Amino acid sequence: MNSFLDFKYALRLLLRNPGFSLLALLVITAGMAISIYLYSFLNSMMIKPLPFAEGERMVVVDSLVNGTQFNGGSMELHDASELKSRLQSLDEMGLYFNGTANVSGNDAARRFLGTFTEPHMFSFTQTQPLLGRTFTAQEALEGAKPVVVLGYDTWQAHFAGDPAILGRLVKINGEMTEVIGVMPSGYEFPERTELWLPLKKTVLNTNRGEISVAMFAKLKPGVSMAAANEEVRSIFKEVEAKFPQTNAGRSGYVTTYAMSVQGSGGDIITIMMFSVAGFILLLACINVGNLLLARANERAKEVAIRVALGAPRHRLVMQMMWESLIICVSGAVLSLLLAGWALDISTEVVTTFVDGKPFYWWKFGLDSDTMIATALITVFTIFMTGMLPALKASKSNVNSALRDGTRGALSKKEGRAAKILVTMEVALSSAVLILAGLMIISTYLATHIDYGVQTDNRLTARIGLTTDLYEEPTAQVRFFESLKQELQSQSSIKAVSLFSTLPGNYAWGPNVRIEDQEDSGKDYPRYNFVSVLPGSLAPVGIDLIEGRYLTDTDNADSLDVVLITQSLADKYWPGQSAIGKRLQIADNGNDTPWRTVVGVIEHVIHGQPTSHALTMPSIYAPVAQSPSSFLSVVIEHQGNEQQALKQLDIALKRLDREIPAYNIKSYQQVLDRNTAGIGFASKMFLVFGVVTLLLAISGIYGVMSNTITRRTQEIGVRRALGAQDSDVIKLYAWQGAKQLMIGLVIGLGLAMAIGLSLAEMLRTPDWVLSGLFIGIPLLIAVVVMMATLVPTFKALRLHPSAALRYE
Amino acid sequence: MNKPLLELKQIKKVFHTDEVETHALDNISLVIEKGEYVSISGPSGCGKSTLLSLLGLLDDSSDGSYKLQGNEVSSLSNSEKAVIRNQHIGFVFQAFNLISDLTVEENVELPLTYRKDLSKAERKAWVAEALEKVDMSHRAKHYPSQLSGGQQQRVAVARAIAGRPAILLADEPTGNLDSKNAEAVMALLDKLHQDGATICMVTHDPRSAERAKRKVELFDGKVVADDVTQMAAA
Repeated sequence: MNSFLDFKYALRLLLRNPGFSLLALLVITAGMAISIYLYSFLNSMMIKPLPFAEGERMVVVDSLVNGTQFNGGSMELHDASELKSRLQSLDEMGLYFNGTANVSGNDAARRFLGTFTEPHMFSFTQTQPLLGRTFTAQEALEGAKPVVVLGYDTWQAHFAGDPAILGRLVKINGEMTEVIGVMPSGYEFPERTELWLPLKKTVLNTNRGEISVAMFAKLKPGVSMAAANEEVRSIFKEVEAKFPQTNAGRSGYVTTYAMSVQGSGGDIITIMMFSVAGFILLLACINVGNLLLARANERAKEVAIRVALGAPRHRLVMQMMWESLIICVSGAVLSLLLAGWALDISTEVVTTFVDGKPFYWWKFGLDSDTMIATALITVFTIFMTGMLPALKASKSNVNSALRDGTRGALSKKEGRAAKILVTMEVALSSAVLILAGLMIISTYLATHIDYGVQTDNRLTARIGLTTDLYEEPTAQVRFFESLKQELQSQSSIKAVSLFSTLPGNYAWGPNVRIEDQEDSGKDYPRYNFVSVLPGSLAPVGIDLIEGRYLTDTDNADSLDVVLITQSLADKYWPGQSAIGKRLQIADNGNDTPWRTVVGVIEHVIHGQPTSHALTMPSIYAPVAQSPSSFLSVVIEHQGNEQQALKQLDIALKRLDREIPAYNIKSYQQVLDRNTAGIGFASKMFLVFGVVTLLLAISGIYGVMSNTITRRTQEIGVRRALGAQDSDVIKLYAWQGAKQLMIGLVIGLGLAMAIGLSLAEMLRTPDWVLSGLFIGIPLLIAVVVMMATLVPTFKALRLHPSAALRYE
Repeated sequence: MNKPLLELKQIKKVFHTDEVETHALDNISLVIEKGEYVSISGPSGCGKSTLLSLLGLLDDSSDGSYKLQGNEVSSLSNSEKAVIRNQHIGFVFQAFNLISDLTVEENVELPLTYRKDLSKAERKAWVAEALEKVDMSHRAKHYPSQLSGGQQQRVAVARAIAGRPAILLADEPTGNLDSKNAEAVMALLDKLHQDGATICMVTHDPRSAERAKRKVELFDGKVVADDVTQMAAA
């Protein structure tokens, strides 16, 4: 009953001051909504276990090359097999790789994302097929009849949900394959698989380096991720010692599937986002806490009367806490609505920065985890915002409050609390603003970087020669040359280029040995290596700096030649010509041919410009001398992309109906995708930055001006004692400056602890860091000085006698 | 002939609140000589605190002349008034108005820190002397919150006299004190007066007013009585 009365009284007070209540509600909602949204978003994206039984134990093992995490199956098959046979910390291990599955139809072939896996993948996930069965162990043996398990969407879209699909023979990668099962809707393990094929045991007979795989596994009960990683690294070290030429710089890592698709640095961004959200929530709490504290001060006399009337201390504390409770619970409800709306939008937004459809575990919405987090955040905010006013109420001095005259000025404890609040505001806001600025500027620079290629009016597509017809390299070269001729014969097509990896995309990075350079026999550096059809570079705007481009005379029978980027030439032959120098791919021993540099081209970025790819030099070899069954085509058209696509389709059908084009995108889309993920994070940080700036300005100004306003009487005393206006201004400016400096030391320390590793990861230029570490403190300093000087000047405008009487 | 220490002529103070005009002081003329001990009393709202504020240059009059040691001060700039407050006037407030962040010693030193003509050693010596006079030297390192009300007011008196002002202005100095502490503070003011200090005290406590050698009474912003006989007798 008493509680209800207190609740009613608190509600009445809040309703009587709608401006105050609305401000407090908005501030706390801003902080809570960001925290709830971010928690839910990152939880779904990176933290929640996979939606399978024992999902929390499921991990993936993949390779780590020179400290960079690779995902999607990049471990050398033999290394992975050795790992599998020796690892003690993991259970139910199985190897797989994701590859192309060209499924032929009546009209044309269509490319699906297939997973070639050891048979027990389905029992690993404890998932039964919707129709038929999954693989038997025998189906992975040499000579077993080819079988396939279809994904639900593949079955629905490509086979029209045919209920009699089981037993049907379909041509996959040129081989007649029997459909033995269909998996349930939503099952896409390991990542985005559309159909599954057995990984034949015979692949173990292939040469080292020919096949790359990943490994699914479960952590043994009681084993930590760190311990599993330690074991994987130690085994890789032994393998590296055994095969220094192929395994220099290679190691492995164990992580969850959710984290593996984030790539290197995903954990840093996650930590940073959580930190920033936490800081913003704290800022919001401090601001609302300060508002409530100011109210508690105004109500000091009322509290004293209550004490005089015999109110027990806990009732006074609860009286103050009720206001926090009402504001924070209302804020939580509003925040949930806002976060739910933002999560709905996020589902659409994330599709823009992933290749293909989003991962199956990315289900954004207000789930049970989010509700629990919201409850915890609400309790935290109630405590944080209500703590100071409640303390103030519980320790109020009845006598001094009830006496008409006061002893003047702010009490020592209140003064200290205000100083701590301001210092925390400065620390948190400077840290968040620097981190947000870092992310925003780095992303801006990354999205406006020159990759070294032209993208206007250029369409790209991937083409894979997966059938037996193209096993011979000469057949592969012949096909791609024919395709180029077919396309170039069309009047609407200006130029055609073909690369094993498009400039802008991550490329194969083998160890490269440079002739006449110091040679330890191992630890050769890795550079991008791209096969290219002669005549492909100039059409995409890659300029020649020295020597010549590749030509049709650079064929399988002629001297092995390469083009290198200026960055590589500068690295080994600064100030001299690189033409005529030689290099060798050292990934598989020293038996590959020496290749002679015949031209130097401008630097081209292969991969995300926020990664090591930014400065990684590249080597381009003619496809006739480095054949590849997969090439990407770039078609320069006259503005009509659909027409170009149609002509590509016609050309492919004319050459081979079973070869489809896939990953069809404009060249600009290909490059945009590199930065779409961090672009999204950057937009989030822009919101964080704006909210933080508003919270910081209003918070710092609110606390400081409240403090100084409450010291108006003290200003009157000082002036009565003969202080000049300048003395008072200097005093408060210096006090403000001290809080500013302490806050900045803490804030810059926090920003450095989190931001420097992020800056390193994003390849943020030093001038950006310097600018932020100077500019943001200056901005905060301006806010603090304004917050100090404006109320001080206001107090000084009063006559000393009025200031002395100020209540 | 010596010039009076304070000389008010035809002083008016009008407050404007919304459309209401309040005449707090109405043609006040008053002279206070060096060494006087004057009490100003009257009912609440008669203008005594306003008069003290004008005497202390804490507020401006609406009209009239105010000479301090023969010099017109009503038209001085804020900065010049601050110098006069600092070097020629000492204040004792009803609510003590000590600064809670500063120790007793620092509070007393505060007005001296605004002066450029004193070295640190001189400041320390003047502070010690002032604390000695009010018998608070033993509490020099304490904070105001650690003192009783009476002790706080003694420290406030020390702060008022530390700069060796020409006049001490006290606004209800015993208003927040119990009778015992009030008596101690009044005894302290008596002693300071005996030692030569000029004191002007606003009070509505008849017992305090009785201790002054000259009693000025205000009513509705006017001087209605000015008993200088005691001073003449003295």
